[in-house]
Formats: sequence, structure tokens, C-alpha cells
Amino acid sequence: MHRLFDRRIIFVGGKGGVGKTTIAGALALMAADGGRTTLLVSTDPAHSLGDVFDMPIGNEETPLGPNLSGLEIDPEAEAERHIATVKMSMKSLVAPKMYGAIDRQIELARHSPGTMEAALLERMADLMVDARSRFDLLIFDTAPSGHTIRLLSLPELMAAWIDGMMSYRDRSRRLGEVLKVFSRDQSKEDGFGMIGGSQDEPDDSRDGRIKEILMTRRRKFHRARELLTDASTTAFLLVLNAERLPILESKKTLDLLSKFNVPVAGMIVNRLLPPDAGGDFLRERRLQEDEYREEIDQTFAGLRRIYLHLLPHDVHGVETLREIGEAMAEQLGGAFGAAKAP
Amino acid sequence: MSAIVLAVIGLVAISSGYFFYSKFIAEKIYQLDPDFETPAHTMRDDVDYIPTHRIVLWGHHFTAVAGAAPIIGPAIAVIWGWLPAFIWVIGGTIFFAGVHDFGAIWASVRNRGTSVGSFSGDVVSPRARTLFMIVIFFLLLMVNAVFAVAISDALVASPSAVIPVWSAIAVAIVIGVLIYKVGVPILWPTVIGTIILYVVIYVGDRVPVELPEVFLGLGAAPQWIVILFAYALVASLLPVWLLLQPRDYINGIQLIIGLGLLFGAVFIANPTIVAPAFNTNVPEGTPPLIPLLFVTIACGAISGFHGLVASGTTAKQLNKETDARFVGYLGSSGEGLLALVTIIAVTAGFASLAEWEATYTAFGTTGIATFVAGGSTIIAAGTGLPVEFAATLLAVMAVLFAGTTMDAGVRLQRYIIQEWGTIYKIPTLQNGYIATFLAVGACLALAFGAGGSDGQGGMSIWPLFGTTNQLLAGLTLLVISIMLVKLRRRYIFTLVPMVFVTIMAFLAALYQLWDLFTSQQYVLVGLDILIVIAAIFVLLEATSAFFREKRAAAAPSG
Amino acid sequence: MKWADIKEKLRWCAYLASEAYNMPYRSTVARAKREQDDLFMLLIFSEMMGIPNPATYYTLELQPIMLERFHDWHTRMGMEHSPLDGFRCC
Repeated sequence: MHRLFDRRIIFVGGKGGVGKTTIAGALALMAADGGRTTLLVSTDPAHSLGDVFDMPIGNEETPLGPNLSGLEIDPEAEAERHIATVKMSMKSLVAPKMYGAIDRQIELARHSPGTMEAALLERMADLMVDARSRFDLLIFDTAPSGHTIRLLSLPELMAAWIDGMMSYRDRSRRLGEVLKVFSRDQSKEDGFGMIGGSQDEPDDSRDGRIKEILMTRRRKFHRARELLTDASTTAFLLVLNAERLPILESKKTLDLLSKFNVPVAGMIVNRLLPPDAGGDFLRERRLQEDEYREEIDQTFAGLRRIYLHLLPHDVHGVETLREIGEAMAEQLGGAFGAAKAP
Repeated sequence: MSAIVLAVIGLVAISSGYFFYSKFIAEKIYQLDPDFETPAHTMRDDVDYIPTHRIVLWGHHFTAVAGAAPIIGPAIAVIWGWLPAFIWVIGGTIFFAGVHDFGAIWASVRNRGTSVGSFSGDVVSPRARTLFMIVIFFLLLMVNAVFAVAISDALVASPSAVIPVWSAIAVAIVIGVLIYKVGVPILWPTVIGTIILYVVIYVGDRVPVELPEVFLGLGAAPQWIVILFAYALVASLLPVWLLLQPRDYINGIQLIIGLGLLFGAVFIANPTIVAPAFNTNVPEGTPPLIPLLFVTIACGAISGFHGLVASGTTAKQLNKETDARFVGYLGSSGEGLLALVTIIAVTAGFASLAEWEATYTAFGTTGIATFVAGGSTIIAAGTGLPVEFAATLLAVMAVLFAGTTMDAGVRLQRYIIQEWGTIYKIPTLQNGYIATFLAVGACLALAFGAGGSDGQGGMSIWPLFGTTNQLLAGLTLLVISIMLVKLRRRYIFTLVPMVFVTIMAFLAALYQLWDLFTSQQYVLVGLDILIVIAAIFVLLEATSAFFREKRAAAAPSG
Repeated sequence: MKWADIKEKLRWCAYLASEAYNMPYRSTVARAKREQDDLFMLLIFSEMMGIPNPATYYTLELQPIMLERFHDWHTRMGMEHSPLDGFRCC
């Protein structure tokens, strides 16, 4: 977690319910307080960002405080926008009586399994590329692990798909060139009663547009992939509790993340029982928790770890987030990087 | 007797055939309609279906079908004397081949431009279609194998042709690059390329090339066979504009020049035919005249192979239905002319009967080399060109023809294999390289399997090739006849050729079964049996369809 | 014979020669190109035909462009009518 806030993009992930949103919020606040303009983005469909900050946050950047803005991505809205664009293009090509048919047909795509994820990824990728010029730091509060892993692996998979599609276009274009040479002299000779084929013009412009769309998309995927795997730009923070299931899940998550070359900066072990909480019941629980802490220390020995204790009250609003932030800062000293933006 | 007499009779007969008989068939039987919208127009997609000028189409059809077969066939068949071969070639061209090729185009045009194999499914039955396809595949297999053998024999016999033949390939590549990459318009590269080719032919005579007698256990001819298939493999994988396209074009030019030279020389030199009209002194082991004559000469009299070309591509590009007569009938007439001039070359190109008999010592040993020897003598006598030059010219012409047919055949086979891969879900077969290797491998296996490692017996495939060819022709004619029955027209003009050709082909197949068996050519025996069985099934299906349609047509309507 | 007539004859010969040269192979290449395009078309419209495609979001934006060729394509694939229930081009 060396100089965490020198990165430009931070992902906060982990199993559902371990306290990701809180951590993300705390980090964002720390960075903003330290002078970095920060955008906090929630990609979790079950958005809780607004709840934690006690403010309504929507699909547009909402100011949460000095240097800090928040955003809850609504994949449905994104998908809707995408689909609406497609519908409009199609409608411009057909007679009005077909409009209903087009609407019905395109609607099917909305419910296709990959659509929501793709829409989400689209917005994320756009943010990662565009928002960097307006914000020093992007922090993503992600959905529970499985979704996130799939999401992060999409750019690589889709880049492969795009390359395949482009190779088909390429082959077709090359053959088209050969064909053009073979038909070079045809069009001159209508005087002999034979009319040459004339499909060239519309084909060329259509091919051009297809290539353009594919290339734009390809660039976006590649850029996203680059950013995601660049350790100087991106960091993934794994949040877990000292309980059985989160530990198991974290192991799996780390494997997958390393497979996709996403740099992991460290782990945050959250919601530990405070050392001074009393009573037999809690003593028992703390013994068990200590075992789990043991396990965590061993299993994830290579990773920087921060330990946070349960607070006596709900995390609600900016002040409590600052409390958590301070707890984190204590454990890492200057690891969060320069307090002021350069 | 003077060769000019034969030439004149042949030319007059074939022209009359075109002007009178084909007109009759076109108007009364096929009833071509100049206003009928051909598939080239109704299904136009600028890929397969494009209306094409009839002269261009004729040129393509003609050069596609005119190969080495009208040369090899007659060169072998005159062993029975020139008269039987002459009658079969002329009569066959006028009454059989013309009607067949012409009819195949017409039938295909009226069936949305599909190939004969495909629409036999509609006209006869779906089962007939599968069997048809099997026969076609075997036909292709044999074409490739036998032509490979014929070419390699020719190259061994004419070492002076080796360099010119391969230079022709080089010239083709240069022309291809010039026209495609550099963009030079057609005429100049054509003229210059042709001139260069003939210069190389002149030079090639000084630099004969012979392969070592034994190399890796193979004799000279088998070595050539391997080289040829390697060439066919490479040719089918290179871009078409580089080699195949210009090479086809050069072939066409060579054909016209060669034919012109030969006929011209005949009329000037007036050679005498030394071979007997009817050979009473046939060498031992020569098969009987009937039925073998009719399968030894296929192309040039009637050939099922043409039906494939005619209905496969030509029909899809026919501009007006009336063009079918020009393209189909005249196309086969042109081939008949090539066969005719071959007969003259191999019977009048010798100094005396004794010399002729010394060449015709056994059935199947004569071929391209004989044509080259006889033809060059005549050309030399008629035009004053040196005899070696003429010989090399003819050898190059014949070899290049056979080569074109070979790599077209390899490509067709590759498509069929790839189609089987898709139908039977075998992914490896769908790969272009693998399919080509398989096609070439199968043909090689046949070429060597029939000929042994010394390749000597390779030409024994020839009569089997002829048989299959004629069976296919018979089937095509039957399908056309069925169509005529459905249309309530006179079918006798297609049915009589069909019956004749089929009976002869069957008899020949039976004879060969016995002949190949006794000479222990078991591979060919197996092939023979398979083909005959497939053909019998199709015949049965088609015949029952024929009578079914007859009954339906005869029944009072309404 | 006038020079113009000769030129006309030559032009006609050149046309024939050029067609003789190009015609046979034009089809071969055109067919290969069409096969590539058909494959591409299938991939773009696969979701609409009921074949699940994880890349639907991305094929969607290419569909309007391919729409013009869709009718020709499905006819060629052997489907007499449009395979899409919602979208009847014919």
C-alpha cells in the first residue's frame, strides 16, 4: 500500500457485507481532506453509498464535500441509453410502419445476460479514461466479488472478441480489393449490353463505418485493460472480516485477480472485536477471531494488512467516516502518500 | 487417302450440325425462348449469377472442357483404324455431345441454375442426387490421376518440352502480376507473353531436361507425377490472380493457335493417311472395338464431365436462353474439331503403314506423345517450321491443357471434401490445407496404385475414366429426357443417345471388370464395382421416374 | 474501313479479352468475400436469432449498419422469410 493515494484508480472489493462501502467512503474522504480531488463511484447494484453519506446520490456526479464527488452507476440507465441510440439508427433506415417491430426486437437485447455488465463496464471504462483529467483519484466501491472479477476480466475477453471480428472484416476487405481489380474494366462497357455490378460505393462507406465502430471499441477495451493492470496507476484493496467465509472467498478472489494481472495493494481486515469489549460471550468470540486472524496473517503474509475494529455506533455520515480514516492512517503512517496534491 | 478429305468432311459435317441440327433441337425440342429471364438475371448476385456476353462464355466453356482428353482418346482409339474413330467423333459431336452439353445448360437454366447433380434431386429423386454426387467424386478422382500419368509420360517422352512447360508457368505469373498489381491493360501482356512463350519453346528444344532414371526408388515418370501433384497443391493455394487466372488465359490462346496451325498445315501439306480405315491386324490384347471405342473417346464425342461444367457455372451466367445453343453446341463442336485433327495427326503424320504399326504395338501405349510426333510432322511439312519446334509446341499445349484440368479437378475435389466435413461434422476436413492434401493424396494413391511404383500401368485408368464419364453423360441425358417428358415434348433425340451411351458404358464396365481382374489391378476393380453399383441405382431411380412421368403426362388432364 | 471503325473493333476485342481474363475468377473471389461477410452477419445478429451471445451489447451497435444486407442474407441462408419474429423485412 505504499503511497496508496499516488495511484489514480483504487478498487475496493470483497465479499458482500464486509464493509466495503464504508471503507471506500473513508478512503475517499481522507484523500479529499488531503487535497486530492476525488470521485467516489459505486458499481454495486445495491447501492449504499448514498446511505453512508446520508445524501441522495444519483447517476450523475454529486458533490459530497470539498474535493469530493459521488456517483452511483445505474446500469439500466446506461443500457437504456445505448439501446436508444441503436434504435434511432435503425429507425432512420426503415419505413415508419416498422418502428414498432424494431422496438420489440431491440428490447430483447436489454434482457440478455451480458447487457447489464457490459453497460456497467462501459461507464466504468469511460470514467477511468475521461474522469482522470478532472479528478486526481477515482475510487470504485465494487459489487460483491464474483461480479467484480467478471467485470474486470471483461476488457481482456472482449478485446479478443473484437480482434476476431476485425479479422473477418479484414479478410473481407482484402477480397473486396481483389474483386475491384477484376471488375476494373467492366463498368466501361455498357455499350455491349452488359451492365457491370455496382455495389462498390455503398459497401465501401458501410465497411468504413463498421471498422470505425470496431476500432473505437477496441481502443476503449485496450485502454481499460492497460489501466487495470498498471500497478503505478491502479490498486485493488481487498476487504474482509475475520470469519470463515470471507477468508475463503478472499483467497479465491486473489487468485483470480492475479490471473488477470490486477495489482493488489493490500487487505483491510474489518469489523474486528474491540480489545476492551467485555463479557464471557465476547471473550469466546474473540478467541475464535484470533484463530482467524492467525490464518489471515499466514495465508496472506505477502500482503500489507490493516486491521480495523468495530465502532460502537453505526457508520453514518461524514464524521464517522473520518474516524475510520484516522484509524487506517495510524496503521500506515505515510503510506498513503503526500497529503497535498503536487 | 488424303487427309484433306477427312478434314473437309469433318468440318462440313460439324458445321451443318451446328446450323441445322442444333437449330432444330433449339426450336422444336428445347424450345429456347429469347425472352425467358435466365437465372443470371432473376437471381443475379454478381457472385455466381452474372449475365455474361455469349462469346466470352463460349470461350470459357470451350477452354474449360477442351483438355487433353480429346487428344489422348483418339490417339489411343485409332488402333482400331481411323474409320470407327472418325465416325464416332463426327457422329457423336453432332448428335450426342451437342445435344448433351446444350441440353445440360438448358436444363440447368430452367432449374434456377443449379448443377445437374443438384436438380436431379428434384427431377428424379433425392436418393438419386446422393448417388450422382458419388459418381462425380470418383470421376474427379480419376481425371486427376490419369492426367497426371499422361502428363508425366509426355514429359518423359519429350524432354525438350520440360523447360517450356515450366516457363509457361513463369510467364503466366509475370502476366498475372502485370495485369493485377501493375494494372497494365490486357492486350499488351497477352501479345508479348505469347511471343515470349514461343521463343522459349524454340529454345527449349536446345535444352532438353530429363529426370534421373531412378530417384528414391521412383522411375522418371513417377517422379514427374509427384512433382505434378505438388504443383497442383501449390497452385490451388496461391492467390488466383497470380497463377491460375493468367495460366487459363494463356491456355486459351495456345488452343486457338495450335488448332489453327494444325488445320492450316493439313490443308497446305495434304498428308496421306497411312493407317488402315479398319484395322484387321489389331495387336494382341487389344480390347474389342465395341464397346471400348465409345469409352476410349469420350471428350470429342460426348462427355459427362462437360455437363458438370455446363450446368455448374455456364448456366448461371447465361444472358439469354438462346445463347445456350451458341455456347453449348458450339463448345462441344470445337472439341470435336480438336479430336478430328488428332485423328488426322496420328494417322497421317507417319511416313508409312509400317511405321504406324511400329508405334501402335499395344493398346493404351499411345497418347500425347503420338499426337506430338504425328502432328509435328504435318506442321513441319505444311508451314516449314522445324519439326522439333512444332513437336515442342504441341507437347507444351497438350501438357498445359492437362495441367489445367488437373488443378481444377483438385480444387473441385477439395470443395467436395470440405462439404463432407461440414455435413458429417468432421472439423479437420473443413480446413482448406487438409482437404487439399487429402484430395491430392487420394489421386496419388490411385495413380500409383494403378500403375505400380514404375507408373507404367497408369493409363489403364483411362478406359475406366471413359466409362464413368459416359455413365454420367447417360444419366444427364436421362434427366433431360425426363424434363422433356414433363413438358410433353419429343424426347427421342435425347433418349436414343442416352440408351446407346449407357449400354456401351455398361458393356465396357463389365469387360473391364474381367480385364482388370485378370491383370490383377484390384484397386481399379474395386473402383469399377463401386461406380457401376452407384450408376445402376441412379439408372433404376431415373428409369422409374421416367415411366412415372410418362404415365402422368399421358393421363388426361383435369 | 475508317479509323474509327478499327478503333471500335479493337475496343471490342479488348473488352472480350478482359472479360475472358477476369470472368472465371471474379466469381471465385466474390464468393469467398460473401462467405466472410455472411459469417460476420451471423455473429452480429445471432442474439436475434435465438443464439445467446455474451457480446450482444457490442453487436447491437453494429446491427443498424448491417440491416440493409439482412434481407439478402437470410434469403441466401435458405430462410424464405425473415427469421426474426419482430422484424419482417419481407
